[in-house]
Amino acid sequence: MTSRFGTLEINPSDLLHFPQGIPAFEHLKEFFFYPIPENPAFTWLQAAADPEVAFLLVDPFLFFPGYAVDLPARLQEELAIKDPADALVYAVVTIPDGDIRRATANLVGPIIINPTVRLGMQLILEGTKYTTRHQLFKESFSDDESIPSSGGNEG
Amino acid sequence: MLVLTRRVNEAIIIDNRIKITVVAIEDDKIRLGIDAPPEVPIVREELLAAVANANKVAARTPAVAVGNLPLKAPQPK
Repeated sequence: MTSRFGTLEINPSDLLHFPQGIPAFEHLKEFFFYPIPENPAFTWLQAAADPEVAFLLVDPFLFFPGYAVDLPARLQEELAIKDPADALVYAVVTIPDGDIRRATANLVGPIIINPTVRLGMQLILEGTKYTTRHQLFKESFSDDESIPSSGGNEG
Repeated sequence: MLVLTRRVNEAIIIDNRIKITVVAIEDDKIRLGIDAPPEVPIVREELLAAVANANKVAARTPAVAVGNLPLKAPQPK
């Protein structure tokens, strides 16, 4: 059961395991993709155990061309990532008051998934200029330097 | 909570493998140097809290919002 998508049948082999959960939802360890067929730039990540909890994810590289994520060795080990190019990287989208024009992406806490072994976690990038709220639509970024700087945290 | 007094350039060793050095003190700011194995994640508490708060808000995103999503951001003019 999900609150947004009705009742879904999920094959256990489709589940993504987040051994540490994600911050604020540490108790939720299993999620699954609920794709948006007409829009491959976005996908939902639905919690298996809580019908209310779903995250809208976006491919950050489509919207923020200068975006880069360094995958720490520890993360590659935990997610059994052999080639970083094979890892999926998503940014969590927030839509204030449901107003899509004000949608923001969290670039400081990307969701990293190894689709091969179906393991995932949220990485927190320390020491970057990224924040939890980058405008998806009002600004366009052509390179690293145009991403707003606020020391990696938000006010 | 263990509370220790340190001066500039003095350090604390945690678990024989993590060294925290007081690098500089100015007014109400202290600069810390941390030597830790690469597998030890280090993150400022307020950054973790910011991500947790963002996740709480994002988890409530309604499904209806998605219908209007464009495929890609408009290109810069």
